[in-house]
Amino acid sequence: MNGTIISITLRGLLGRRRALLLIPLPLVVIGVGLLARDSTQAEAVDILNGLGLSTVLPLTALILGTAVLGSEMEDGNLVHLLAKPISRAEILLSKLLVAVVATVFVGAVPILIAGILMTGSYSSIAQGFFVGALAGSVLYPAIFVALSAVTKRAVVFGLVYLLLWEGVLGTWLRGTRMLSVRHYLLQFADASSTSPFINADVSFATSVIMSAILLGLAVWFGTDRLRSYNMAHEAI
Amino acid sequence: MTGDRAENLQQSPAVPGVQTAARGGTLVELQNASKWYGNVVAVNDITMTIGPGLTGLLGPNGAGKSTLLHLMAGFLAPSRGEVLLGGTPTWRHIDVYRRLGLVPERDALYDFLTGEEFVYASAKLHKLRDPRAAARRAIELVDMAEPADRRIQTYSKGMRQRIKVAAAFVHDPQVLLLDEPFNGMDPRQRLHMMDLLHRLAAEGRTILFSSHILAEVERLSGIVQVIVSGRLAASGDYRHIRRLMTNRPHVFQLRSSDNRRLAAVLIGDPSVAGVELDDGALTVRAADFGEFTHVLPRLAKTHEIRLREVLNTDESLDSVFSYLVAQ
Amino acid sequence: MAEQVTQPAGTAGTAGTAGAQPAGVIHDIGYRGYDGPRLGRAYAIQSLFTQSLRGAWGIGRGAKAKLVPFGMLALVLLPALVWSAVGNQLNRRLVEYVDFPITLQMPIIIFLAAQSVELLSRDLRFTVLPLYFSRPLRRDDYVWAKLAAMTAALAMLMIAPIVLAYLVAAFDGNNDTTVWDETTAAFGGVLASLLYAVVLAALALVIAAFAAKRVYTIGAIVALFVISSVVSGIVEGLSENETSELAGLLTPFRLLGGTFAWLRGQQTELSNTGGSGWLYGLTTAALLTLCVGLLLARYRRVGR
Repeated sequence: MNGTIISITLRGLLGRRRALLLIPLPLVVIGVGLLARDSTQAEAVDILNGLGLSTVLPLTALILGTAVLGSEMEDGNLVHLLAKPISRAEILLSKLLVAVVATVFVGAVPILIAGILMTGSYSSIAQGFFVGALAGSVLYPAIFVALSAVTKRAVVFGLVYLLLWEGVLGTWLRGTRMLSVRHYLLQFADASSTSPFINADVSFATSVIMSAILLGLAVWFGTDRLRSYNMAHEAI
Repeated sequence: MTGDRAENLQQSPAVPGVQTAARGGTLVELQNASKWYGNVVAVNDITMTIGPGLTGLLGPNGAGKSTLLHLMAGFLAPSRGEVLLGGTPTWRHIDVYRRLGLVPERDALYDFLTGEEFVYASAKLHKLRDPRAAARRAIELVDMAEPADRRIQTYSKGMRQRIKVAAAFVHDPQVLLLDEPFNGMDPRQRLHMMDLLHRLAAEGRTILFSSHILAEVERLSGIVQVIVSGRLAASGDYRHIRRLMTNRPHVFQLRSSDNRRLAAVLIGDPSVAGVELDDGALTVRAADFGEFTHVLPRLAKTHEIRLREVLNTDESLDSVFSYLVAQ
Repeated sequence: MAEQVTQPAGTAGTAGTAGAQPAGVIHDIGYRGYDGPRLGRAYAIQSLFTQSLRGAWGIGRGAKAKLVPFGMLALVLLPALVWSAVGNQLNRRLVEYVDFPITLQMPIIIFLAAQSVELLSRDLRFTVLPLYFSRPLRRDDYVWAKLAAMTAALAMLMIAPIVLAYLVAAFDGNNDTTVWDETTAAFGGVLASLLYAVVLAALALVIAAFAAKRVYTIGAIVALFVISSVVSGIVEGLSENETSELAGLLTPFRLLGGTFAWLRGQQTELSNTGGSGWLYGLTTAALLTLCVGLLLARYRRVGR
């Protein structure tokens, strides 16, 4: 982890107008949590899953994950970081760390707050979804940072994955859920919670294994792509 | 300072290509290096060695200069052949960056940082022992001490170029690669930059810059590598190259006490291909450069014609270049 | 190649003293001013429109630029094909034509987000706008042309599946509905698509104009649509009858669906506004005016 890179990435992320984009997202989650204060446990689970874990968290991770690497690639600033005797892994992990921490604050913490608001206290439900969101705050950014290292159109591909694969197909074709981060997160929420209303479709073992594999692949692939960073043009 | 520089300074070799590794100087070598993208060959089987001193990489737009610099800087992999810096291949070897500084052409900088912060960050990323001092030194070197605490966003183009050089130089590299460094500079800034590069080169560093503006290269150094359509068209001192272009007559501009008589005398000599008399100036095309330089003073003396001015008018980089590009 | 045989002594590079040298000459190499007729502002606007529309579909920009637009086109055509084919078998319409946009919203959102970047971000990032505005093209013209182009592109995207479904349905002989009914229904869908196109274009472009960077533009547009949609669903679930009708106001697609239903005087399963249809209409009009106004204001300020 490189402090200088972390610092530069953080400053670039929070610079001026762009930070404003990140404010509505947690506010919406917390706002809905306030509105739904008197909901039943089942309803709370639905909201935390549907709005939090499946929507705001992945989109937040998409924006942040693609921004930490993608915006520098788009501008051409990345060469300043790459022309230094720093391992590419160090560069990638530093940026990933920024994305993860930011996602925790913008994505996971509001989910916790909303959970507490809706169930009245730090309940098992709130805890479950918070754990799931934390896991998602690591997995999703890793995938999107790696994607940014591979292609200029990382945002669009990430969107296609989120909206079409996890969203549409995940609803219609049960089989795809095994390859869907969203469902691993739900399983982690289920595992960290005693609530009977959280029901995951994918087993715990599968979720852990797949998550580990995905995380490892993402970091490895992203680092490898950075090593072969090509000034002329990038893939896709 | 990192302290691994040569103690004895090296003179830049007149013709790179004759290579004994200068002691302490770092060489950038390409050996049969080629780079292609599908059907497009950007760099075509180039073998060259850049040694200590200042070298200009010259070529028309699209000739492959940027590609070459990126190959040397480890940001492109050669499709064939080798690209070495101090004996190590540059591709996927991040250690080369300890000895290499790159000033990219693209005007991409962290706009939200101040000049000082940017150079300081560069110093820290190079893991220097005293990054603050190194940053300050580098900033002073490029004469940016006064605007250093303003955001890069507020800089003019010339200032941005200079801060890029400062950041590339902060770790005192042996090799400095600059891609079109004079882009967007006004004449005064250009002179300052040229001066700086001269000084750095005189300290024994290997400095290579690319340009397609001949005026810059001519004044800056006599050593050029000319790249045309991906091939190395010529290397060395451009005046020397000019002399090698034997199938092209040298053009001299003469003024004397009696141009007409001199013209008549000169045309009788076999080393002269043609003369042209034009309103007070005598233009002579000499087929044999060496012979002509002996013949001219002899004939002038014999016929008691006083030579006031003898100019080799096409020993300019321009003419060398246009000749090479047209081949 | 040009041989340098003579150089007039007055040129740079030779030390010349004045007086005995010939004077400098400027050669006539054929440069002429243009005094002929010029095509003017209307043509400029039309050209910008055409060029932007082509850019929205990635035409004239290489294969990779066509990936997203045509990919999304495929993703709207495929379901439409499936619905109409299955519908023919079951002898009813699975999805009403006017509900096509809502049902197909995911590919439409992706198209919208990605292509808004193509239309506006490039000009903004590379600060070429002063080049545009030093021509007869006025600042407002630029905005109208871009809006029209995006609207047209979206309209094409949304009408294509309707046409496809219509053709599939029309060629089925064994059908309860008459050709006339099918045609009017499809026509309704086309009108709905136009409404969607206009408002969605304005909404997306205003975001693109302010966000400027690719990542943030796409992220903002998608976040707006998707998150508001989910929130709208939640609000609807949480509230009682009257308020639940208003839940659709929160998210663009349902807002527009409700507006069209109100304009048409006919509710559908997916666009149920109860008695509050007029509110939907009002909100849509206000939203459209706001977006266009902001867009015009942005481009009046930029590059000054």
